[in-house]
Amino acid sequence: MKIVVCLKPAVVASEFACEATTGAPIRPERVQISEVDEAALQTALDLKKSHNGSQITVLCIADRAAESLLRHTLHAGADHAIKLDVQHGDNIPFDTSAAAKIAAAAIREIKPDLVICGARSPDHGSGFFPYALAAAMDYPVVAGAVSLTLEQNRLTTVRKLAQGWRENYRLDLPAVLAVEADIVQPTHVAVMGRSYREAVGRTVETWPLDKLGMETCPDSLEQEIELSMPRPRRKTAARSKGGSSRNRLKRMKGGSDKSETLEGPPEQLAVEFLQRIRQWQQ
Amino acid sequence: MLAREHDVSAVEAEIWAFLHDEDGVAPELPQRMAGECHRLARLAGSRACGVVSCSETAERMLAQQETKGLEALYSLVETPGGGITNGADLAVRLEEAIKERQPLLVLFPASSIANDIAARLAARLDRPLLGTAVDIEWEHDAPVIRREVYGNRAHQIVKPSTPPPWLATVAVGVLEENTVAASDTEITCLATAAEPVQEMLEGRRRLPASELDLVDADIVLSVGRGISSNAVLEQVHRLAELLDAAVGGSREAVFSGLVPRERQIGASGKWIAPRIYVALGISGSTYHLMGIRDAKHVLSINTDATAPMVGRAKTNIVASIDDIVPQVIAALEKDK
Repeated sequence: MKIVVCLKPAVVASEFACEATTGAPIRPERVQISEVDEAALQTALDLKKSHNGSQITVLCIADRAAESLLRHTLHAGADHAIKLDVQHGDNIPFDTSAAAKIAAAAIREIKPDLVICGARSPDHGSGFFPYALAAAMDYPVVAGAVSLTLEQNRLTTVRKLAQGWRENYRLDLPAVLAVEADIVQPTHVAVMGRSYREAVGRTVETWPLDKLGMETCPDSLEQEIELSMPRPRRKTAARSKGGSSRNRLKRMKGGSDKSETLEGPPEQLAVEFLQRIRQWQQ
Repeated sequence: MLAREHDVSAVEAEIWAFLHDEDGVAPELPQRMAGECHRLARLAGSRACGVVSCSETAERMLAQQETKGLEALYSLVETPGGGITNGADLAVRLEEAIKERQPLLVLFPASSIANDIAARLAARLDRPLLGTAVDIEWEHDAPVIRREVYGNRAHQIVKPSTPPPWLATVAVGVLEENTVAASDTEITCLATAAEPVQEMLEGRRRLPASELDLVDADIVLSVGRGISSNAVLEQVHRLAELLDAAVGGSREAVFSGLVPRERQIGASGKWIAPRIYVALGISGSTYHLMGIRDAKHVLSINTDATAPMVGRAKTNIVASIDDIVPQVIAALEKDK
């Protein structure tokens, strides 16, 4: 079975800095493999263990330091690592849709059975990449997977929704699967461990755009106007009328001005308790 | 209100809000989305319209006044459910409806279900997904989206570089109460022919209360130092089962071994925003209160009427947990 893992170099958000004069944020240079991409790689490695003869290819679209990240994936147990060399000249991150089109062109060359990626990157986090990739490949897609089983070219997976809801999907391969960080527990890559030693001779391949049959980068579908410091949404609701300092402090802590205290026999209090719960549930 | 056949001739600029009230979606979400759609339509000088999966849902939303501010409500199929089985199906039908009506912008709440549909649709239409907006303005005949990036260390302001239709998801937390006065909303069925899709949704289920993550739970029972014995703790778990609630605890409860570390609530644990938070024997340190800052309704049961939690809670029951919890369980079991 051929598995492709798509990685996105995520900037180290904690290293965000501001320009001294204007206060404009400056994107950090350093990149890392995000938790969710580590989970995607580990999912592929686990599948490789359970399906003998599987091959893992890791793809990364990057015009800056992706080489060390791809080398890490080789050390972890990937068979091939390919850097899709896209020069687009500035520091603005690559548009998701354009990235998906380039990745799709590379995936067509590899002809995998399964494409695994993270459900959403920690930097922009729109979660659009797996869908754009699946549309470009005409593959079925499930995003937000928290478990999977693979039997006879058929994938059964559980998708995580909000408030404890789960959806069970069954899809035929080839398919795109976007995983959540908690699908697996990533294993530590031991220096000079078995997979590390096996990867010593391997190199990271670089595929330029012309190898993918593309002359130029696909057009970006959105345009960044500005990167600014966070500011809260303009409030349209009426301002609070103030009140006593005690009440203002209470509101700042999230409390309300109107609270009630109930005392009495336990039977009566139990009834009152249930009344409040039912009232608030509606 | 009866559904009527769609009149193709009268196409004018529209902004759509995708409304859904399925399981796993906050009940106030449709009316808030309608309010946001109304606001943007005013800015863009266009009609505010809603789109729902089937006519039955449209009529229910209209009856519950969840569509205030919308001039029209489109349903994708007439029959309840309409054979729509998953997000992929819905995206196919929405694509057809969008091609027919050509709205300028379609808004989706950034919930897991709607986000899935929006992303599928954007990919099919080859349009950008203007994702998780915390603010949308309308400038030079196009939406300008502000979104949180890099773990909310910065805001990115983007605009589409394609012609309409544009697709945007709105962060659920920024949607405000819909204060628009009720008006006439017309239901229109856009009968679309569904194509088969490859993804096979086999079912949807909710995890039992005991497996629910604290951030996913609608009701959270939280225990503190006021829990006197393991027997009382067992009763709290029984109560959680009956109320379909998750059980968490304060830092003191974690130190006492009452709840595991991953179920600690507070500044050094989980930050939660349940609809109902019940503090059982929790005094309410500043760090604990930080973790429940966004809880909607807080109820406290404590013997100490001067504990800091009393100032945070909407309802305070001054009594021992040992007395109250068994009584509540008995009442709930009697009602079953």
